[in-house]
Amino acid sequence: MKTLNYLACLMLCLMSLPMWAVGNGGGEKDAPAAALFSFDEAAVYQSVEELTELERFVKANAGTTLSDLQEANHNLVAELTFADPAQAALSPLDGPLGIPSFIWGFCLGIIGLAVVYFVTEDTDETKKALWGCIISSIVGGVAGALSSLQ
Amino acid sequence: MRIFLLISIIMLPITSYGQHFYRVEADFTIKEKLNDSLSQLTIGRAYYDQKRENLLYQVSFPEPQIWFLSDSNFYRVQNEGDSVSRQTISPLTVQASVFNMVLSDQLGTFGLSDSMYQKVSTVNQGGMVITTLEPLEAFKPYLGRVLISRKGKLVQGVILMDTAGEIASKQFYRDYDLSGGLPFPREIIQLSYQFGKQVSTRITTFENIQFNAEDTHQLYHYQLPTK
Repeated sequence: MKTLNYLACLMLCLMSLPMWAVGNGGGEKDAPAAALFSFDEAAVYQSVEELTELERFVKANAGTTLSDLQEANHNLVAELTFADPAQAALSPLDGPLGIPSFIWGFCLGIIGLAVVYFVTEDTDETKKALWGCIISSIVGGVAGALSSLQ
Repeated sequence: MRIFLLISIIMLPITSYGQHFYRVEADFTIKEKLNDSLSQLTIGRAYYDQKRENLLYQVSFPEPQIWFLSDSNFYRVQNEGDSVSRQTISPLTVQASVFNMVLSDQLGTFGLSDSMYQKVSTVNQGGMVITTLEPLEAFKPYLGRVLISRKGKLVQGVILMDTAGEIASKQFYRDYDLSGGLPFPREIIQLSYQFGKQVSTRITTFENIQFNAEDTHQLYHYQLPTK
């Protein structure tokens, strides 16, 4: 029975080990990493307030479509410019990992471009990443030139 | 008897995770604002089957239509099948969806655990456990850091940085539904940045989250219209 108790204790220790490791791992104790996860919540919700009103209306009136509202020149859509539904269909899903292709190109340069190309095999997505790559190069070049003048 | 007890103890971690979740469906709303000018509102219900690796969006707004994602294909079915269009997409679109990440327990690592990144530090700050991932040495000239914050096992936020250390994207996973068997975020806020300026805001909300539903079987086994 002693052996059994020992094994049970050993297993409990082993099972709790990963939690202990996470809780005590790493350095950077003073780095303000938590601050990076803050954002202006009120501003974010404010920016989509018109869409939230539209959402409430649509949910309260099942079957309502955007074209119905636009044809009726409904005030909830009158002030909004909607992306072309045909072009926008993939927008909420766009880019690898949901990151817009432009950002892949801008942030990751040629590697980002390759990621977009090989992963999406989509010419439009690759073009967006290419623009990001070009703009990134220009920004980098201008910044380098300015710093060399100083 | 002792052997039976020993086997029971060894099997405990396995049997405690006995229920296998392979399907999830939820009502969704996506609100998006791009450059303070273009707007987008999408409402519907999504169905994901992990075994078939199919993701179906039954969209009701802006216009009724089906979005069907399978492997590297995106099909848009309109007007009850009169119009079907196909587009090639990244297979990662389905793999990196919140539905797959929840079912495969990858949300905590944002699916980056087996990638070009490695964990460099884990700290406790502001009531969160924050893990910093850095690209492997060969990719450092091209990839920036990724920070993932968690409370318990639940991911709260993900920050993607560029090589200069500027924030490119922030994502926040909030208001988890814990009633269905697996934790599922009811709200995802995504903020994208360019040149240090926020350029887009996307808020995705989920309601009526259901795992392993059988009464919507036909939507998990969706067949594209043949005409």
